[in-house]
Amino acid sequence: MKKNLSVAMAVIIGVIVLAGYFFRDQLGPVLTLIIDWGILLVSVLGLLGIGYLIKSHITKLIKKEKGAFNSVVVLLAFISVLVAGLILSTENDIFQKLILTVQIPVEASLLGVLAVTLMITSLRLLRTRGWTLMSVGFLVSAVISMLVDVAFFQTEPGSPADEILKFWSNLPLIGARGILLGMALGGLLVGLRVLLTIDRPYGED
Amino acid sequence: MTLRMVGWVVIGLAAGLLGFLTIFLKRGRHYPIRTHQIARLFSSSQEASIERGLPRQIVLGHQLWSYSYPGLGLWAIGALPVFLTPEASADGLLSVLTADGALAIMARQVAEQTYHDGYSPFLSQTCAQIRLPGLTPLAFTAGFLSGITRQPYGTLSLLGAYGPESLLWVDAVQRRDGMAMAAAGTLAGQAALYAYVQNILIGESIFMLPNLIKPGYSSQASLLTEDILRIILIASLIIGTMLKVLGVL
Repeated sequence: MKKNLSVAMAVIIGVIVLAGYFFRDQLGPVLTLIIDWGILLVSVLGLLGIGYLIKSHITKLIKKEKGAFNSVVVLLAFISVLVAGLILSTENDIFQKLILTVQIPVEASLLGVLAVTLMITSLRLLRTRGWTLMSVGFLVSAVISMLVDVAFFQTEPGSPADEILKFWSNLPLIGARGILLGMALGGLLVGLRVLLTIDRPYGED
Repeated sequence: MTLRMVGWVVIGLAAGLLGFLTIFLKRGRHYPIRTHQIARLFSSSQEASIERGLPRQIVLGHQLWSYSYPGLGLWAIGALPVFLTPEASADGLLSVLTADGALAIMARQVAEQTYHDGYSPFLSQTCAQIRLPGLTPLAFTAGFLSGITRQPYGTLSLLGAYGPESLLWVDAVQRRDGMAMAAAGTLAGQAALYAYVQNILIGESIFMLPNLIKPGYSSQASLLTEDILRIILIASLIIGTMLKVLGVL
């Protein structure tokens, strides 16, 4: 009974949401209500997730696992931000500065590491993938796109070279659109499999 | 014909084909499923990791829903049961990681449901651990990197929506002699990982992953539908371009 109820609810809500995109005038209010409920539920799940994060760090601390000191830092930072947010409110300038002063340098340093890793990876591409048409094409395209993006080539507006440059800057967008079309196709099938109850991630197989 | 009508036609055709082929293939017909090296490599790496008692991790990405990639989070959750086999999680070294609270809770539900399905609750005590190392992509990266202290490492499976920061995770895993398998979600993630990961699925291929690992009639129907739709899409694009060039459209 419980299993059938969850299946029925998933199918009915899925079909209403899908139909709502095509019959906006008729199903608009129902669609808004369902989406609002969805957002509310996801927000509650997000809150539970934060509780889960805290619980896992407390467990790590109690079990004295390796890296437990990191958990102390995380918990202290969490409590400080929570208390500061409750006292000052999230709109407060001091609170925002306090958060951003820590967050931006920390994330920027990780992005710096990522940039270096990306550069090394690009250099090792041919070693990893071998001298195939795809790998050479990938590398050449990446280098040319990078040079085009940083305006390395300067051309006269309207000249044939300018047209070639414009074509080259549009090329990645065309490729991306192709990949996104394919992904949309895959996504459509994932949704339909859930709607047709072929896949039941919310219940038993 | 309006875009709305095109949408109806595509969705209707996909639903009709999927329903028909599922019933058709359920009656014992066979569609030769595509084989991909990634499934074989993943299975052998997973088995070796279990035998050697090495940690395995599944990353579900950092978003349940996003405007650019709406289906990725849901797909990751849908694909999860394929990875949560009793053999894979019996030693308690399998963990599922995500940067999204909602994904973490849903993954927990999926894991518990899977383990209650035909198995004793006593056997499910050592099921996969669901972890949330951080709530933003970079916080997740920091948490993930500080979490993989063990050397050597087993298998890392990347599903869902994640960006180029995944390169840092894969780099850390490969430095510990681990194997990384990616069904890369976002375009930036695909581009970054293509250069570094041998076992990678990109574009619509990512949605094939569960079907490749656990083939069955419903998977075959899904793959066949995807193939037919893909051919129709390619043909439509070519015909549309030709008609545009000829000035008909």
